[in-house]
Amino acid sequence: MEYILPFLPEKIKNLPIHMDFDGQKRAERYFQIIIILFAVVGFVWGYITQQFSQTLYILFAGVTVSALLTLIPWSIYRRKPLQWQAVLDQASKGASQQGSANMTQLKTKKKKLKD
Amino acid sequence: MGSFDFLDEVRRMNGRQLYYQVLNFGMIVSSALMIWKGLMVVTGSESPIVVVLSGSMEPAFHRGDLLLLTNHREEPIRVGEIVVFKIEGRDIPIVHRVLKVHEKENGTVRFLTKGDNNSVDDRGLYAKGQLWLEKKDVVGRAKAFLPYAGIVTILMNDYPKFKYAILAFLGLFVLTHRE
Amino acid sequence: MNSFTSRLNSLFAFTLSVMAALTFCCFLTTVFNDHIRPVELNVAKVLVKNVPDYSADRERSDLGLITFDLSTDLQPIFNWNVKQLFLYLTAEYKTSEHALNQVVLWDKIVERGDNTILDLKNAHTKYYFWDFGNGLKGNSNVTLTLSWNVIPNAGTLPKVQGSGSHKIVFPDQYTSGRI
Repeated sequence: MEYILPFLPEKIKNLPIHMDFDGQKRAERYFQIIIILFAVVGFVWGYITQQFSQTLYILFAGVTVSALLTLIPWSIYRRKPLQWQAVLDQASKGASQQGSANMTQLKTKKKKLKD
Repeated sequence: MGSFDFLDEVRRMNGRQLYYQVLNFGMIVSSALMIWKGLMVVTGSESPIVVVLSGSMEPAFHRGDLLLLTNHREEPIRVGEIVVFKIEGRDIPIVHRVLKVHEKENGTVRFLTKGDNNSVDDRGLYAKGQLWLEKKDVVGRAKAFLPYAGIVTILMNDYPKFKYAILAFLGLFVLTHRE
Repeated sequence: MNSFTSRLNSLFAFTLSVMAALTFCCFLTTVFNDHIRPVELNVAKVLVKNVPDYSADRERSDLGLITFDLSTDLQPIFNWNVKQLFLYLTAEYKTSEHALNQVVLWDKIVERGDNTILDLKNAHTKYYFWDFGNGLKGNSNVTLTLSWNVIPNAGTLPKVQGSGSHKIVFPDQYTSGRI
């Protein structure tokens, strides 16, 4: 990725490709719900037709759908950007302290999302 | 992620963390060993899970399918069963079906096997002059089957470089990733 | 860090777990099926010869020569977790030397979608009916049964004996010469 980056035109480079934290959470939820739904439908259909392959095909369809919906960083996953605190004056006292406090807060939030 | 990030990761750890990672790695290896040995006790087989390495049992088993074996002493060997056996002078055990059984009153048994996909029985595969298999040759009898689950083993066997790459990658991953 | 690849990784892992769960549920829906079917067996020609067994130890052994009729319908066995049936016709008998002898005379693989109605008339055996010694002449208690090994998509490998058998009575005299 890093090797081709300099050759891309500005326009493409500037496309936003991130998800905000809320978006990441929702993306994960979505693909889990979609895949489980397709799996349940596929299981019932496979049982009716007595063909386990049908179950798997339906599951793969669900995987494709959820991949399209949640792998690509669509703009709906960027609706709740982090509200950063305003930049404090460097000279003012306690700025560094507050900054580090902010950082730890962020870290715990990140960890939660990871889980 | 760049390919040499892990070096930075190692550099960032202090002695205690590095020690912890190594211990963690040892824990994973030893628990895997424990599960394997535990399965050996429960199933009575010296290798309770085997991957099918040849196509001689097609279309039942294909290369890369996984078989669960048991080998309890009181379980008799009967015709139609799929057994995994070792032949003197061959490293790799063979998975074939029992074709003939001759059992004496005292329990000593002689049997002959054949692969579903082979046109002749296995006498050509046995050691020179060996006509029958005996109970001591058996590694286990196939009890359950899972398709494709051993495909990584097949890839590792076919491409040894791939095996070392995977082992190196997994080892580094466990050593360098903290949680 | 959340990125395209990390999302792809978790999607892949989740799909694999769901697939494993589905496979296991599929196995659970079929685990209590008994797979038993009625089989009609009959024997037309029964002869026994005493000739050297060149496939084994070259000793003079009893060779049974039979032709058989077989009719059954296995359609009800096939469900969504049956990939294949391995049918085998077994002759089981007792001799003075061995308490139990089992010899497979004929086998057939019936895959999903194949014709499941079997109706054989005057069929020849696929494998030679060699006894281990000379225990076939005058043996009036040789039982012929059809069994099958059910190969699932995933799960256990049950061995089932069809209901219905046929008793062969071998003549007291060896047949000599050709046929």
